[in-house]
Amino acid sequence: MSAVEVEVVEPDRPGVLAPQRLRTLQNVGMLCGLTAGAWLGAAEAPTKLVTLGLSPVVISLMMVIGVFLARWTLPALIQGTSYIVADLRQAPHLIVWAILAGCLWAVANTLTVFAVRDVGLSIAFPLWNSNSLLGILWGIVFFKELRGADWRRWLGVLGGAVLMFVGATALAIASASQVPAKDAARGIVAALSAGVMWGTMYIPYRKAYLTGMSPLSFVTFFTVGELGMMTVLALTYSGGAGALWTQISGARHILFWLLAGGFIWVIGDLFQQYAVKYAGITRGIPLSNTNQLWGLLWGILVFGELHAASGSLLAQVVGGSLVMAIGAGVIALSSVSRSEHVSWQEAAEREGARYGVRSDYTQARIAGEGGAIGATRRRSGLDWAVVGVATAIIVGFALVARPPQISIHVGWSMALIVATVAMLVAAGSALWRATRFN
Amino acid sequence: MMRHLRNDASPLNIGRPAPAVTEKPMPDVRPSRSVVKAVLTDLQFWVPVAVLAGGLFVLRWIS
Repeated sequence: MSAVEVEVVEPDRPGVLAPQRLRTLQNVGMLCGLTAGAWLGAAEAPTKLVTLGLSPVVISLMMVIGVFLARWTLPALIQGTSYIVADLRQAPHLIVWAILAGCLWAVANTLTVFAVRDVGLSIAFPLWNSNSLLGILWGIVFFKELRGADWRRWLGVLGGAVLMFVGATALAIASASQVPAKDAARGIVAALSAGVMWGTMYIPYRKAYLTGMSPLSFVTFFTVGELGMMTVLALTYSGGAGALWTQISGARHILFWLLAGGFIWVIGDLFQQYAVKYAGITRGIPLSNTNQLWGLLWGILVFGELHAASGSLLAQVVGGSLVMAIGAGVIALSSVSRSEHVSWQEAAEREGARYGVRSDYTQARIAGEGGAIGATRRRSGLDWAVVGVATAIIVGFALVARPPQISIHVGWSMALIVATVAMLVAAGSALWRATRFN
Repeated sequence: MMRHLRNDASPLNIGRPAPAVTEKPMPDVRPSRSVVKAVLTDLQFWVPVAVLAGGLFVLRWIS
């Protein structure tokens, strides 16, 4: 069927969005992707604490505990648990994918801590951001993304992917001159493996959001997988519960910073999930992978990474990062056409038919609407209890926290924080106006 | 009935009782098999499972 025929015939089809609504959702999705990049970049900064000698597994575990607290607190505050339960009842099979995705995230996050330790934040970041290449592949193969798109959009997405790969390769080569060869190889393998895992994690994401589930509902079980897997890893690699407790209690003065890192990461991830939902994997993930640039800014400006590097090495790192950013920009400009969106709709219908999900629910959620799920957003006593317990835990860790013994540039960190918060306000308000966080 | 008209739309049928519906009903959206079976036969389940296993292997190697 030609693109012209699709434009004429499809407006009568249930669930096909009006052009204006489609544009609005795409713009919101892309803004969410950019905001996700800023917050995910900021969240990686606490992993610098690994230089203090703390076990990578303990660092990852504490981050995941922060993630767990945030993943229950934010949905409880925004939607309420009764709404979340009603949402999950529409597609209970997605709980399996949520837990599976959480397991993938936990292992990948642990790998990134090893990677940061071995090759540094500036180098490791773009390597694991290769996840967008794999995400694009899964989006095309499994979810009919880019089907019905014209050759310019294909060229934009695939050309952008090639640019990102070239940029990542330049950064990988730069890493060889910074660290011992053995450590570099281990760090590169760890970073690339994390990229593969996170790239595959977008399969559950996209599956959930094609079906219609709200990201705020999906993450509540996602984090069960995260915490469960991370606890098993920590117990296994720390030598048992006793040894793990010894490490945690010995590092109690810096655990708050790791919890905070996990909390910040969740904010970025929520925006990333909305980007996947409304812009698709092929556009949303490359945009959220601008966290590489934010990571570079944090690493160089705040933590003084690469301060002793030669001019040519610095040029290679900055040049590689810019090439990756250009690639992400090219992908982002390849907007979703209505005919491609019809393909998304077909993939959603297949999911609904396979797992018995109501079609009106799926169609309403794809359009950014609530759908009739028999619940409204309201906070109950349970929700306030969840928020209260989580807050008490975080405050408790904050009371025993000490500033980490690592030199930072306060002025630059404040500037980056202001920029990051401004993006949160802009994207959050746009998302609320367009979708009410559906 | 005129062959070129579908669904008994012949002029001779005007005023007659509607014939019994013989078309297949709209497909039921509920899965004909259990959710467990649907999950286990879904390739989108096994790809992440395989990648998770690979990631655990790499973690064991580098740690």
